[in-house]
Amino acid sequence: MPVGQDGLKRVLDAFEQGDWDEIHLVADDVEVHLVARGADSKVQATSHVTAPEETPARTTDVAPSAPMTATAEDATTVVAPSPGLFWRAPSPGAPPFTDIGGHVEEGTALCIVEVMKLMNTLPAPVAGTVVEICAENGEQVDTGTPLFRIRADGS
Amino acid sequence: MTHVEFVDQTLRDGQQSLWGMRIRAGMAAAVAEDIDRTGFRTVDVTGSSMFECMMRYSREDPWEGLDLWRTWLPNAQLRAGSRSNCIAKFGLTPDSLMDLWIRTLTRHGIQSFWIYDCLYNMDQMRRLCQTVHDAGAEVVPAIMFGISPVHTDEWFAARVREMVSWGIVSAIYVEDAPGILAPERGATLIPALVDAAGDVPVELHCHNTVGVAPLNYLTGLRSGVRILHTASRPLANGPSLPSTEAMVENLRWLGHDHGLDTARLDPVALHFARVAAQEGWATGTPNEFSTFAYHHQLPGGMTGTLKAQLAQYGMEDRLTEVLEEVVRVREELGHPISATPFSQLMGIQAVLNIVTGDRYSMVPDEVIIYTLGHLGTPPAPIDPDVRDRVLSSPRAKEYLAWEPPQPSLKELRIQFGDARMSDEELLCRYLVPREDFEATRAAGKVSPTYVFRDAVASRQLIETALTMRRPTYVRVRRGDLDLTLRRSRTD
Repeated sequence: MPVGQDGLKRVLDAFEQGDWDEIHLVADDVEVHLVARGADSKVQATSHVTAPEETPARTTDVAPSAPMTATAEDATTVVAPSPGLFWRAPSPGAPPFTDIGGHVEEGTALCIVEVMKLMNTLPAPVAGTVVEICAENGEQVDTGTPLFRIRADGS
Repeated sequence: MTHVEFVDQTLRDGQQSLWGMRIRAGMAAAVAEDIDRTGFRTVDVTGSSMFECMMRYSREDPWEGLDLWRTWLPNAQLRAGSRSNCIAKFGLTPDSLMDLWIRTLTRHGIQSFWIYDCLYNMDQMRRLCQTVHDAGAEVVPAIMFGISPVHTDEWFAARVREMVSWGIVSAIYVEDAPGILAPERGATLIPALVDAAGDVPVELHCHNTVGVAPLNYLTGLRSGVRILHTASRPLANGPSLPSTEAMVENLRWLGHDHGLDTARLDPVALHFARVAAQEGWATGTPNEFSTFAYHHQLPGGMTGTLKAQLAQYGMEDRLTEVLEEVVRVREELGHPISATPFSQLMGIQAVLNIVTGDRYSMVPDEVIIYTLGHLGTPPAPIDPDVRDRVLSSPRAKEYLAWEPPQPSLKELRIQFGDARMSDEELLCRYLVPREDFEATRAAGKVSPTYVFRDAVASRQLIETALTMRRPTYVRVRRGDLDLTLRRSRTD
């Protein structure tokens, strides 16, 4: 007898609301067997549950920081202006725009933040030396995620 | 009585419009024979965006997947599509790679290509169409429809005449990607295009975004169109095309015939409805008519993508504002036709304009390249103020002197790290970041099957059982699943 998902749900509800001691239902390709409290003498002290794996995708929450503020170490932090994917090179197979220790001029391209497959190139806000790259190539970043720290020339 | 032929879009545009190109090769296994033997003129199966999605999201080798489909569909004429000047994302691709893309697809069994260019770079289109012809495949250049002061019936008809004059064209493909061809405009446009095509047949590919595509198909039939693009019902309608089922029925009432074995339509529809249910993916439903769609002109799939993007900013409620901004951006950028890449360029620029609150303060490289004319001549002049703003950034200054590079295949192979890599690997490496290519390779062979687990239904059943108060013993069995729970009396 086809009962469908809604039908099974109604049977379970009816069991829960009523005073039945046991139900054993085989319908479609499903078999459900329930025994109520007190009705089964074979109750064991422990239970063993193996639910299907349904691990939610990991989400990364990064607290936004103020854009491009000087830090205690006198380095300028460049943050992501938008959620997107962080890319260090202009295209697959190409060398990165810059690396730790590299010197950049104001306006030099630092990286790409890919927003829905469109490439937004971020310029260096100051001339200086890259002292830290704070995100992994290909990482999903959020607005305000620190990407680079640049020590300005003369600081 | 007219004999009408069909181009099946279930596996390509149907799932592109409704499933965001997340189809995996094995999902077609159970019904490939039905699709193959239905009697379609052509079965559209792939394009570069699909290759990209298969690697990025499904971790499946797209060449292996295509080979499986070719094996499972031994009779059908298989089609792929390409823009005239780009396969990866929204910039420009070197000619050497464009040609390699066509030739390699042909080697894997593609026999027909539709070639499009929303800026109508006719020289580029002709060049790639010649490549297709030389590779021995059918050449079907596309007219992409849009509404603007520039894009008149005569403007489109002139493009058709030029395409036909190349002498290598098997058909003209007419696409309404946003689904905004109004029936009254269709009544003048479609006959004009059929007339311009002369002896070359016209294919109609109208998205049913606001529910009027079937009316345009009927106009087409009255005007001499004999080829319609449709999809299996679960992958039809809404942002996709009209369903094969509905059009076959319409033909019957109009007294036209077709060569389709209609007994094969139901098994395909049932299968993909079940896939959608298991994966939690949409199936197409006819949309209500929307006047607004005629203004923003965005394809239905793109509207969904923008909604998802706005959710990332926590601004889901601002979709209408973004779509209104699209209207402004289109006008400012000179009315490019709203299909790839311009639907994306205009859509994302509108999102960035709204979320930054400072219009054109953040401009993607692709918009800069377009503004500089590297993608082709804008249909109408770009607004001078917007042009100045776009070109004032340091990045734009770098692009001023930029010429699109034209590396040889040998140079490209060396750039990607191995002078001896296969054509297939080179194209894949060009299409996706290294991480995605390597993860795809690590994932191993493509699964040639798709298993229905009814997992979602089982999970809901178990969840309900777990929240019940009365049972001390629960057993649920379904397929491979066998779950037993016991607990001590707690009262």
